[in-house]
Amino acid sequence: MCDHCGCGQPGQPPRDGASSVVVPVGEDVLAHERAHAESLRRRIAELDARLVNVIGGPGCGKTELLSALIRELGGDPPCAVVEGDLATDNDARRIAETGAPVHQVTTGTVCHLTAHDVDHSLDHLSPARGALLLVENVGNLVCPSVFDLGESLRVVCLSVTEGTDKPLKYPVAFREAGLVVLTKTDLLPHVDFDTDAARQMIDDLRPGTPVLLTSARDGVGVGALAGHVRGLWDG
Amino acid sequence: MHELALSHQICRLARDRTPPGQRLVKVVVECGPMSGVVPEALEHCFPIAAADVGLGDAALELVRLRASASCPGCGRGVEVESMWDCCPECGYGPLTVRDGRDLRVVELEVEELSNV
Repeated sequence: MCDHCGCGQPGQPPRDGASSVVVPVGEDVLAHERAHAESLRRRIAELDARLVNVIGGPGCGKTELLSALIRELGGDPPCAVVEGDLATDNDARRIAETGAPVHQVTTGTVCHLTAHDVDHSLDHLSPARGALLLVENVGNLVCPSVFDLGESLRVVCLSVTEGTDKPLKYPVAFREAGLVVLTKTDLLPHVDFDTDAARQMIDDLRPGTPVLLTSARDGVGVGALAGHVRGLWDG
Repeated sequence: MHELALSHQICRLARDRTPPGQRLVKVVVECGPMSGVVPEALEHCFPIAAADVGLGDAALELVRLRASASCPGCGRGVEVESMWDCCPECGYGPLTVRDGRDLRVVELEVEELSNV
């Protein structure tokens, strides 16, 4: 019987073990993913490029933010984009309107982009030397948080419509963030979002994490975000 | 959600490493607290993946590892069970976790097909 919850599911029948032998293996199942993450780090370094992994819940405004950022950067540095979604190439079409090269990965049922996905996306994009590679992860604040994409910076997006306490509800994502971007701040007059309290929660999870307030709709904070990503080449 | 895919990877690896004429009885896997794997989810998915890969009722023995970490507060090296643990000596958190990212197939237990 199941020894976790007593649900009655049959478990393994007892064995005497006398006739069995042990075959040593010692192989890391996650090694393949880690090898792709290292490959990405190497390829990005060789190009003097930077890779930014953008994580956030579905509908928090990642694509609009990236479109605004690409337009703000104006080719300095040149951008290339990997889009991750379960289905459709809608986001890739939106990004393509900015003129930036974009590659859509449709994951089917998989809840995050893998380093394998992004490494092979580079083959399609052939980013320019000194490029900014923006990776918009699948809309999800859970699984993408634990997968290394060989990134230079991890940005976690939180829209003000999602509620102040989201950092407390999804602590792994915010604890791994190098930058938190609050999006849709043009809606602040219409929602009960406490910016100071959210900042405090983010700082409690990872002291010193920078937080930017942005609105892709009216352009607030997009210049500051552009300055932040340009700063990835400093030091 | 990714535990089913990882279970398939584990089962394919175990199948490929099972010597000819032998039947897989058990796979021993070590799981670190920073691997991003939910142990209970892996245990739930494993029998499904084992059946998919043709391993029948092979069992999974999951060994939950601890990770080593250092405390930015008092400088001690400590062992933790999760990334949320605070320093057992001084209470400081978060700690700097150094390892524990592995999901490792350690060994297989196999038996002669004729014994089945």
